Amino acid sequence: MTLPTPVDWRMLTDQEVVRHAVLGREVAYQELMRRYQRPVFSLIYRMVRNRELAEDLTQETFIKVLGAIESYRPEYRFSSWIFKIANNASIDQLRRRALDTLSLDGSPHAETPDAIEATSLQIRDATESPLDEVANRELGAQIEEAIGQLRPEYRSCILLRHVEGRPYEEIAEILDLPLGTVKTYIHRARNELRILLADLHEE
Amino acid sequence: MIPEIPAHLSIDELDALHDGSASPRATSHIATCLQCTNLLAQDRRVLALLAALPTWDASPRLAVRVLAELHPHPTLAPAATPGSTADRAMAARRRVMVGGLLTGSLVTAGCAWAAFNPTTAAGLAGPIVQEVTHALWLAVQAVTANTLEQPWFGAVRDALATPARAVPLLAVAGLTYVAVLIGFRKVLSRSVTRASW
Repeated sequence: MTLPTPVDWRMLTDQEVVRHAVLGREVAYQELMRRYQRPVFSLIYRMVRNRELAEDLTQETFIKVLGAIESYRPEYRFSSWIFKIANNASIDQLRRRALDTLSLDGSPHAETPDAIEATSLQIRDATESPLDEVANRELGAQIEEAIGQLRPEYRSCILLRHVEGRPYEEIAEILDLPLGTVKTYIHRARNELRILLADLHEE
Repeated sequence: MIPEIPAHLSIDELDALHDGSASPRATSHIATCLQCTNLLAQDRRVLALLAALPTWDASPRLAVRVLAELHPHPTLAPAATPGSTADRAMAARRRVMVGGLLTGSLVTAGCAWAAFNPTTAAGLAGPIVQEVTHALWLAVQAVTANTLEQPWFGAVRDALATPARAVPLLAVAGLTYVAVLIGFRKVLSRSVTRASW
């Protein structure tokens, strides 16, 4: 009698992991969360610009996706599905609340220094010197600020394309938009960012 | 003869230049067009800045919370953190309960007071009840008179004159009303955040 070989989860494709998840294997759920927690949270955080809210929406997204895992259609990319739900959750939230307050300096609800630190957008690299850290933090803050000024649909497009590195076709699938529209949105978003970051170009 | 000005780079050509898969036309255009050269340089800078943006980590407890929600199990269930969704839901429920209790107490106290002071209560309520009844009666009269004057009233009266005619008509009207009600409920409860394709 031979023992079943342990599954090397990192070697499996998303579709294969989903097949295990459909069978109710909790390890498969954990693997999907390990793969998508950072990109999904990053996308939502940059869309809604509030850490606490982004946590809630990320949780909501994973519960929706994993709770309805049987309805996943393998002819589509799993990433498209999860990003679609994450993006819809963010857009829903933006419609419900006008979140025009930039949270780079922490949540407006944060009252203590610890809470402000915990809710602010952290722009830091452990290997950089304190001076570099300050410069990079300022640079990162300007870029985040510029992204935050884009229209939500442009913001989704530019984040999915140039931060998450998703191909145009997948973005069209995620946002339910024609491919040409996605290209136009990304082009316009880049134009706006060029203008908003013009000072940085000149430095 | 005026020389033809070559068209500037399209979105696809610009992307191809970033990818290093530009067409000969795009390559030769960029060599001669200062406007497109500047555009390409600035675009490259924007793309580099975007690519250098960090990804953010959610709280380490997120996975535990999600799994606990999907498979409720005592060992996996996390302690409620201040400000969590569960906390807020509980606080909302508490507010509704307190509001309900307060309203109920006020109504009960009012009824008790009226029971012990019937004369004063009647003296206070009498004119109000009279006014309200009068206003309601006037409204009923107005609606009735208005309906009787409508050009369609005759046709409706004829249609409902016998039970054989009235029953199917009322049944169809009732079913239509219920269908519209269900339709509205479905439309209003729809959200763009859904897990299906």
